[in-house]
Amino acid sequence: MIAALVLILLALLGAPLFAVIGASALNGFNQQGDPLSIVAISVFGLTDLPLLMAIPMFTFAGYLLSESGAPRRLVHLSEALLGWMPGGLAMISLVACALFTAFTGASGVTIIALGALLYPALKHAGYPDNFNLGLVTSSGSLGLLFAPSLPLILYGVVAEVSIDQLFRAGLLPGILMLAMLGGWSLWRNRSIRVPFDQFSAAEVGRALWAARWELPLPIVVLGGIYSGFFAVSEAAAVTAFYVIFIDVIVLREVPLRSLPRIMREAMVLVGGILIILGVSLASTNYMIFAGVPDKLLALTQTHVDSQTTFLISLLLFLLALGAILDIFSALVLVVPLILPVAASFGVDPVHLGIVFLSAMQLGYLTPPVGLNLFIASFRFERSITSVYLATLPFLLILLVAVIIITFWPSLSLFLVQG
Amino acid sequence: MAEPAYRSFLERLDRIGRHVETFILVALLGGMIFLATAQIFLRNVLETSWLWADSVLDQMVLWIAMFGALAASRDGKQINIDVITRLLPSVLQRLVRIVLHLFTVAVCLIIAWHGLELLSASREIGDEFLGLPAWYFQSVVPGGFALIAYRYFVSMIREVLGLFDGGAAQS
Repeated sequence: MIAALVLILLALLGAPLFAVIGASALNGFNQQGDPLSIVAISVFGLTDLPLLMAIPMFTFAGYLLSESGAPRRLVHLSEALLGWMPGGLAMISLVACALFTAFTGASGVTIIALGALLYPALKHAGYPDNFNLGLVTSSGSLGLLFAPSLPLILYGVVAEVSIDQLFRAGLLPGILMLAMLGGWSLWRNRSIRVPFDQFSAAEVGRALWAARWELPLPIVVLGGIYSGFFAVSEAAAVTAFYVIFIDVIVLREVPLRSLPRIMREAMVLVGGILIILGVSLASTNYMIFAGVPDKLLALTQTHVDSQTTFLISLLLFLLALGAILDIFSALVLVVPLILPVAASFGVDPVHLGIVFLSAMQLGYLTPPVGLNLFIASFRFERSITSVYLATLPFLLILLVAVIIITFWPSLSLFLVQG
Repeated sequence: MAEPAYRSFLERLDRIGRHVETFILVALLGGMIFLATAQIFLRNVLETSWLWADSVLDQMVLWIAMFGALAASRDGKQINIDVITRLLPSVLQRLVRIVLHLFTVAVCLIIAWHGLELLSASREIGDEFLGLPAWYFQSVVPGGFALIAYRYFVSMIREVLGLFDGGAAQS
């Protein structure tokens, strides 16, 4: 008990989470008299998770794309396609950010790569400053539910759920979030009736031509995965290979000598996530030995009597969790524990994954540790409180979306069963 | 003002270490992308495949994880909860960081040390992987944790030195 409190204190003071989780596993095995080498053995177990290979390659591809002209071309193309709509620029921002986040894994890259283009553009088009700040900040984690986002893959790995099913399941809930934020943006800016741009087929053609090298990417990757032609790890390899090919060789927007730096930056994120996953495999092993899932199940069943009350308490728990823990650590630590409990209340593991990720998405926007708040505050030189206040309406709308997603399982499962 | 000699020594060591890490990460990730793409080509076009490639790719993930984590330790980018420390006065922040680094060093060393048991057990039973002793591959776990421990030890020394000369904590 004392050990647990000390570890929690160390975690709150900012100790690396992998060390805290590793220490708790060491402590647990030690108390049970088990050999401590189990921790190293569990970390070695990372080699038994076949999907994991997709993570370094997708992450690298996302980092490389964000250094190229791809964000600019994506914005340009969305402008050409949607700019004629009243309030179109806000829609452009949402759609472009969601697409980009799906590929870069909601690591804050979206705000830096796209926010920097969209924020001034929105301002120029006459949108109120606070709206722009909130929009750009909350869009940074939008798209988490779309393939091939990193948290979605990680959930599949940890929960041992089919990745294609998850990819299908995220589609409608993700669109719901987009539609709700889009609807609010249109209503909020109904006074700006002047369309941003007139629709011009020639302009669409030019934008399409400019993006001709990137366009096959979502088609090949998403088409390949959704149709079952590619396994996820194969799609990741093709993506990484193709992105290097176009950005370094064809378009030459990223010089070859920058490649090692970009690879390192991407692998710093990947290593940080995977080492937490590795030590969590150990702490999960310990908790299973110690019967923690069974105790948790028994405890929940004495206090919670229906699926609805379970989902309510789950949601409250996830929102609190998301406010203090990043999505990746939360995934690897908590999912193995709540899976059996959720199953006993008849919650489908695929639906659970979508609920988990969409609830954790709010964690990017809630103080004290919301990553997007910090990145936006840093990037746009605004105080963290003003970013928080600007983001609040978006946060509330997303909260409503998360509640709908939680209590309407068919929204997630419709495309899975079909 | 000239840098104290011990600092420039640490800086030089840091630069060399960073290059080595980056080189290894580039080789691993580049190799992984190449190998995985080559497999797809072989499987779909030539209808053959390298039997060893999938196992090697699985190992490469682990190596990327360990070296990526090492690089994250150097860059001060390990995932953590960073709420309270921001609010503390700077001297206290430094003291907290020293304690946290020490804790991380200890945890990593314990994992690494007991990881050696895994290697010696694997050597004794003569475990093999792809025709090589399996412990060659397994050694990345204790080795990686030992290197991470070393990184945090260096950061801790920096912080302790900073208590006296007020120098920058992070490189």
